[in-house]
Amino acid sequence: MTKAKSELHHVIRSTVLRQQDLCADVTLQLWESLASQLVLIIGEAGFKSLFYRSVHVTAKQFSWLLTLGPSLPREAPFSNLAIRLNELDREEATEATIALLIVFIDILTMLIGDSLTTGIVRSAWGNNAFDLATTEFKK
Amino acid sequence: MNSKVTINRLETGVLGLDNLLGGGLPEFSFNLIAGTPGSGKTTLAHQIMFALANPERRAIFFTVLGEPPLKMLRYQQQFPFFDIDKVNSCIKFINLATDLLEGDFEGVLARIEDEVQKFSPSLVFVDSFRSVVDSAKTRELGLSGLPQFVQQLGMQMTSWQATSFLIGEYLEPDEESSPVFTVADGIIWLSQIVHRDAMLRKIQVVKMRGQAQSPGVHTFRINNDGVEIFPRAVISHSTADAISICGNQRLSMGIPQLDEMLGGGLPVGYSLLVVGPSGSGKSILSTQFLAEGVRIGEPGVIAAFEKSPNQLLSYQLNNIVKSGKVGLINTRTLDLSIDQILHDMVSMIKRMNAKRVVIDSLSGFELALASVFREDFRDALYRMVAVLTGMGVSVLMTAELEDQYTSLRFSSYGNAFLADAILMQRYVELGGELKRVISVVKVRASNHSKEIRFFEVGPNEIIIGEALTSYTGVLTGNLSSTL
Repeated sequence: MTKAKSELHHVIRSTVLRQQDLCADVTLQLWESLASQLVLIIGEAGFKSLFYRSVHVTAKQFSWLLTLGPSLPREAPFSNLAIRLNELDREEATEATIALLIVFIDILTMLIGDSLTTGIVRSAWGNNAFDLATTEFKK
Repeated sequence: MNSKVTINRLETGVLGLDNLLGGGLPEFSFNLIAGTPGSGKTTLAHQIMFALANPERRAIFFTVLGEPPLKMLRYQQQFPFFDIDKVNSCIKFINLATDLLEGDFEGVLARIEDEVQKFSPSLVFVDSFRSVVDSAKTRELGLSGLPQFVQQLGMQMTSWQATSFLIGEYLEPDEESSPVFTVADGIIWLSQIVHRDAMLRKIQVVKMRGQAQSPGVHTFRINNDGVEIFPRAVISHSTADAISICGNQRLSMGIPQLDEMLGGGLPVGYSLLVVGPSGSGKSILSTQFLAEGVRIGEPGVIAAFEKSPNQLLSYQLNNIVKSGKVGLINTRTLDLSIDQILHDMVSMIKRMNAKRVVIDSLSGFELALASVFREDFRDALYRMVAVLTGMGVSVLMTAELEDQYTSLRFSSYGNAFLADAILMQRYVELGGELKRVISVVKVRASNHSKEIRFFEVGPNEIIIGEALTSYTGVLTGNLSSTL
């Protein structure tokens, strides 16, 4: 795994684990900000195809994800995801959130490379997310 | 006081394109990059964008319904010009597919305007513009709005002080493209043609307002570095006038007796055709010509079309190439255009300040060209020789020609007239042996020997022998002694 990819995984884990009690809200926020950046560049259809591919892959581990159908409008899967996460216990909700985001980021990295992906994620989640993850890692 | 507006010309960063455009891209111009699918439009646009974009000159690249942006980003990153650090800081990619599918021309225009106002780019690209047109047709919005759309977009882009580019797939100019063509300040047309098994890329600057573009169709290639254009060699009058060919200045061929035969050596700036059958010593003669240059401090360049590096002609040539005094253009790549080869030669001649150039051989050179160029070989060769001699270098070309004892020929292409001087080598039969003979057929505007002389080919040298004054029937191949 490249250093950049490892850093992105760490940022995802750190951001989600930091607010485990608000897992559904954090998930919604992370996906919406990521979507707003990516849709700008690759269009809504491009984003949706990436998102549902990630859902398909992650559903091997968390089968309930398959209920987020591809026919739903863009905002709907995020709110549906948040609803489902609220129904789960904290551990599973956290792990599912992390897994889905990591799969999504890995696919994006595979397609457009580490640097562009990192740039997009930074624009979406802000440098603060990266700084906090680094600080936690040092601790 | 001169009150005329001064148009800044932007350097595109694409090898050869600025020459084609007539000195660069006019700032604030509204341009169309059009052509067939796969002809390199997006690559050309990206290369220009990445070369020009900086923190003071930002760029927006709008994608519409053509190549999926993910794929575009994935593949374009492979080129070294794709500077990731510029993405998002100086360059923004924006997808307009949703706006187009949900709206109409006005909606797309409003979105473009909105994004341009927010980011204040100096460069705006719309790829593919054609999909905007197609979408309008599909949705029966009609093409009537297209001229207004294009005109409005063009006007706004200029008012926003942006240099802009519409990128579109067009097989050939047609009715729907005419409004775009009318409004555009510049039109760059890309195409690829297949002739027999060879594929060639072509570029034409159809229009460039306010400056004299290089006319005609030129070749280009897309290699690992991106787009490289080879402007069609045109003989520059200014260059030609600046070079004066003086018959008094002569170059030694490295063979004193041959210099005598030429009337004192080869006049500087002349082209010399050495024609003879296989094995007659043309390449060795060429090597001696270059080696003599090296000896007196005149660098040379050899374009070798027949030998691979490890077969390099001779130990002597290997040595002078390795010494760095002679540049080697070793091309066994096929499907080249003459302008590609000429570009490489001119670059090397300039870099090495070369005075002597060898093309070995014209037959190999012709084979290296894509089939479509072979049909115009004479024309291409004429342009090439004119450009090279226009630079003041002396050019030696070899040509293999079968001995046909029923006729006297100097070239299989009918292009011997291109050469200022011609050396002929032939085999003759004498006493049951093949002997080599050499003669100077012409040296333009100069006296020269009319003798036919025997010569021998040593390991690294040509040894000129006696004149065949006591023989007749030399040109028939069968010598008879007159003694």
